[in-house]
Amino acid sequence: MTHPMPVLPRESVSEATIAAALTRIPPLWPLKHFVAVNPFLGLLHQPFAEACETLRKVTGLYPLPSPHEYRDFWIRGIIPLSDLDRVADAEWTRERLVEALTALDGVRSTPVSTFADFLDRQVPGSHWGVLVVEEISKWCGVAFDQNQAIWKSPWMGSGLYGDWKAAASLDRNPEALGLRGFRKFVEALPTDSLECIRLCVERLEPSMDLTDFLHRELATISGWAGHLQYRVREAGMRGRRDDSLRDLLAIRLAFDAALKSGFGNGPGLSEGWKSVRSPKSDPGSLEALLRWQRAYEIGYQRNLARLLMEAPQPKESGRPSVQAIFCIDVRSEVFRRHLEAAHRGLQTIGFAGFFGFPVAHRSLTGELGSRCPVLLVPPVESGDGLGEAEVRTERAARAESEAWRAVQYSAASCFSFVETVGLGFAGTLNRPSGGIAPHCGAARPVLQPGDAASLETRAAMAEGALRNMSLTRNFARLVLICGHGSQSANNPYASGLDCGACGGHAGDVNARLAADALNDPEVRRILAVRGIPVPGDTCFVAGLHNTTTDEVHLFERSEVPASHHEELLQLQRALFLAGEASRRERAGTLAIGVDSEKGRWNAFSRRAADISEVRPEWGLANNAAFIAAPRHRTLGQALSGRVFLHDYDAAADPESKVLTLILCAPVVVASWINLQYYGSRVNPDVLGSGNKVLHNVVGGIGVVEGNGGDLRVGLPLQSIHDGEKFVHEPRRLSVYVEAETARIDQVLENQPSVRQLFDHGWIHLFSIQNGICLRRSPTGWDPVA
Amino acid sequence: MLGPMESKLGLLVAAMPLLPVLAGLLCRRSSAREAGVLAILAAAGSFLLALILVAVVLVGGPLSVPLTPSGAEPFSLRLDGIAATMALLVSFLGFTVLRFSKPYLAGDLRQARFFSWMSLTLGAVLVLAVSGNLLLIWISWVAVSLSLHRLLLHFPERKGAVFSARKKFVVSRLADACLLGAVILVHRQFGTWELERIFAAISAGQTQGLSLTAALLVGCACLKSAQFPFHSWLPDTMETPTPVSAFMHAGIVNAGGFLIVRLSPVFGSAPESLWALAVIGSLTAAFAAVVMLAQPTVKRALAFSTIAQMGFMMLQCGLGAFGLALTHIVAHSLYKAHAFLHAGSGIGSSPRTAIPLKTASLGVGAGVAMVCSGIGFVLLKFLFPTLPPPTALQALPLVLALTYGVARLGSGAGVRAALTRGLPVAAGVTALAVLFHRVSIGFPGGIAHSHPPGWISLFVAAVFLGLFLFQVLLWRFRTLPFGRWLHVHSLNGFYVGTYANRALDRLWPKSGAS
Repeated sequence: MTHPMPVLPRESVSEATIAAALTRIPPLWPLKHFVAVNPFLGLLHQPFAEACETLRKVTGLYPLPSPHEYRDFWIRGIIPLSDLDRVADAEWTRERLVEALTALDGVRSTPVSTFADFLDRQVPGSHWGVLVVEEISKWCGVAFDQNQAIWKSPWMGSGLYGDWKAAASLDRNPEALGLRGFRKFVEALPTDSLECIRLCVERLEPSMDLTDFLHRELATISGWAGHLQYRVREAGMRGRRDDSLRDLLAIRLAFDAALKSGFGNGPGLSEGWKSVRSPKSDPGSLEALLRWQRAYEIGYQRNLARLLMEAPQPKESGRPSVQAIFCIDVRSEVFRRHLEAAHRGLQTIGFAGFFGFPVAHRSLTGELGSRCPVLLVPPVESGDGLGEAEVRTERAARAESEAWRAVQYSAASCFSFVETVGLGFAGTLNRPSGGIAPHCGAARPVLQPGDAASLETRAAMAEGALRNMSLTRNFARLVLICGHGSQSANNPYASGLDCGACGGHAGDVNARLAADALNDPEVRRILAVRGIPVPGDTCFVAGLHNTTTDEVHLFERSEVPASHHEELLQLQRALFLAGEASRRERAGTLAIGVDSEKGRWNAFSRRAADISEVRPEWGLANNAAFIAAPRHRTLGQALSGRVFLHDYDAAADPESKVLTLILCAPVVVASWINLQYYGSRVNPDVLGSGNKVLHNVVGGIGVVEGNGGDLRVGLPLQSIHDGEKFVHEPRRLSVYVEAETARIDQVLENQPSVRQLFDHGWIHLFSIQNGICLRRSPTGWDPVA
Repeated sequence: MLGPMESKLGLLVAAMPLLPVLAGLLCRRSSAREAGVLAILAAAGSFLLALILVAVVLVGGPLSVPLTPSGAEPFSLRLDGIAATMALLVSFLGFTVLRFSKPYLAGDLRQARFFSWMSLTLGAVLVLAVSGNLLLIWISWVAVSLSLHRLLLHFPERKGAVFSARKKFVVSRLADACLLGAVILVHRQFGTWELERIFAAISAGQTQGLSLTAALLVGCACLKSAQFPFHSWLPDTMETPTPVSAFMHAGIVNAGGFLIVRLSPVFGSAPESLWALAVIGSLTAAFAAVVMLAQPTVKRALAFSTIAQMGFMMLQCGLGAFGLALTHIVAHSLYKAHAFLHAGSGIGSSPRTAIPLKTASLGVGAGVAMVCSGIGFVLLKFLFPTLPPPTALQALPLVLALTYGVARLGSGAGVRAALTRGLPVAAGVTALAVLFHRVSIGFPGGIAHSHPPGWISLFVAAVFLGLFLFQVLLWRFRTLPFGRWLHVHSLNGFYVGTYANRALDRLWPKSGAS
């Protein structure tokens, strides 16, 4: 399908078209709190198939495994013939599907062209596409630098476009590269980025679909576009306006327009550019690939459904001696399973790891970090509950380290620094980064005084947490609230291994705040009034699960009353055993071939502290499903750390309030994580961040690969590949909810944005009711065979 | 003839570089795992041998190890203070970097190849370190560069890697040619390639006609050690795995300085070359230190930091402080290896704000610096009365650095902290400087050969004062038109790299993206 555009009327690029192109860009979180993000976030309004087509148009690639890979899945029996039969029909017989793969192998289409792309194809030796990205990235690196350059950007205050325009009027580099008169060209541009976009589009006269064209312009610099989309999104959620993404589009177009005015009149170029069209879509081959993808997914879905159906009837057990609440993160599944096996009287519960306490936590350095799912703006602020003297000591220490760093990197002192102190680095060169796991020694968090810390707020958050995790009765004597965080050294992507529900931070602050509130007799009094009677002998304790080493650290242990020491000791013993068993299970995938528990422990703790370790742990790799059901549905089943487990008891949720919340928040977050892994896996060049051994951190917010160029998006190769094979299987998330189909339908009816995820095939939805499992399809609910 | 004890020691000297070379050859046929283990063990062996050899030199003095039977063209290894220091440094770095690489490159398809070339590069640098013969110096010099070239092409499918490797290739061949020219000239004049004989002839007064040789050596060193305006290959070599950068910045790029120090007697009668080196070095130091400040990516900032430090090293050579240049090489190597290997850290560090430097703190800083350096000076005089004290020019960078550091601390944490916390640190740093001054004079050739004319000293002093004023006033002029203008050009490295790239495009077409 082509979009022939006749001669553009003036002012033809409407704000709506620009906005449509801008919204297609997914945000990219800074590395400090690197949250998984759905790389298709801007395309969710399109069905999966259409989005595949869109992405092929702007990147040249379908976001699907390659035909070669599907063939491999088939030959190795990963896709059995029976599954292929299930996606075949009269038109697409299985023979035709197999043949289609051969025909498609190695076919790569040319995306929609920027003028730089066009020039590079036409003129031998031209590589303006790369150079333009380098130039823009250079400026973005300066403009958004957080902590790298000592010489802070002198350009502040006129927005990205205005600052760039002023700086680019001085910058000789494009001219040194051969683009004559660029500074004059920039000076003559309009002062407003919207005007600039209009002017440049007029001059460029692209004969392609305008939205696709503008999308392509941004896709060539998708990393910085993503970072700016993040800024736009953050500003928008807080009621502010941020135009930086639009500014970036204007800058990118300005380069293209300058290239056209500089080189566009060469022989054949002017005519050639006019005849450049959008690439033709190829619905036939896409259809074949999509069917293969379905065939790849249904095997896992069927097996999981069968497993869930096999669950025995729950035994009515009495009061558990200990309850342990973990994050829904797939890594919790392994640990929970082993913890339950190690302690018969212990019950585990899965809930989003911020435990219903969405806070913005102010660290000692004064920075505020949102410790909640990124869908929320934290309403409450917390801080480290330190005294004035401690704060002063910390500040002084910080000022000292700042000064020390300044001495190291200043033009006035770096030479003498190296000459006198440099020798000392001999001692640290071969030492691991440090032994103590992060966060365990952190000061106890407190809510900032004010409305937020009021009894009412804390009670409301506590009530929400308990109701949403379906824990309103049968409390144990000891309840562990266990957040999680990862430990790694020298790892720019460290925060990506932390808790997504805590906005890319460890979950310690939230767990401790939750435990504090739930232990507060005043809070409990209010909870009792609202129908959640927490027994007087129930004690909450906060913990942090180190997902690299599978250790659990308990906070404020000394405050557990002596009457509960029996339970506490039993819990500690079980945590220790579960850690051992989890490490044993994970050792295989990390190629740790040690047999003794002690040796394994050493290997895992080495990974956590080793500055040369590029795979400290596998994070959420190979995640595949989300199950919202009571724990007995999955109890004792080895789900291989691939499943998000959220406790849900439909009987206790007559108004479907909890179900609505689960579908709107944790499921959406899980879909972001799943699709991030999916994208980085199927399309590592465009949707992944490349090889860690080449990573070069920019401005403390992201990485470039090698010398420079665009910020990279998604996950590094080492997060999804073990050197021999990919460890993440690219399957879209399958969500299983233990609730009647009618209720699910009703919830989705009221939540169009979530419904869209399922309707458009971004994730799959299943219902478990009355002992059968049904799959939601566009036409209704079909039994899973 | 050597006695049996000495011939055993000679075996050790030869074995030290040979171990990694052998490992490098064996690695090619090994699995990734074996290659890693082999390379690390060989480097560890080299390091142990180097430790032993350092002890040997400390106890028994320099050692010459002939490789050819007597009567044949002499060809020897030389183990003296300079060689032992470099061997110890480089083998330690090699071991560290190889050990780092094993987990870091786990899963990489070309691991065996990597360990092979890394070991060969290490071996070649070690040969260079202990060469007692100009021809051997030239051969190992070229071998280092050629094996490093293979490492720069670890990802041959990356166009940027190919382009930057070619850029480095061209510069390195120019350096090779300069060195070859110098080697031939020396041979024609002295009839030998043996350093010992050459140095003996020079100290016997045969010093005529060394000007061109010295000039060629300076040119070679400047090309090799990334001196302005031939520096731009260095920041472009980030298309190779981090450990390669670490080893290159710590163990290879300083070879230019090593060459000057190694051949320092040649410059005794050609001081003009050294003066040129002082000018080039201080210009490079100033240029790169300013450019470094504006770089927003960590590895590029580190690359310009290396260029600046190499400039400083050349300046020390140019002022005849060869021993200090050698201590600087050691200190910088360890520092820079650490910086590269930790280049992925620091994400969590908090945003930095430009803290204005307060005038009061600056005063305190100047006072502390004066007191510390004054005491240091007196201490040197008192402890080592026979040694020449540092010149005012040599002390200037330290005084300025102490002033700046204490002023920074004072501006951030208050004047009290500047005194209570800054003074002890400044005193410690001064003590270290005193120590290194003493140690550096112990090196052969550690005492100044060059007596630069006054205008050179003034020039160098002006450069460092200028850098100091630039840094101190930066927060004031940062957003003024001049500050903005300077920032744009500094960010771009004053366009030297861009023009170099275009020249390379013409010289070697299709070397860019095509």
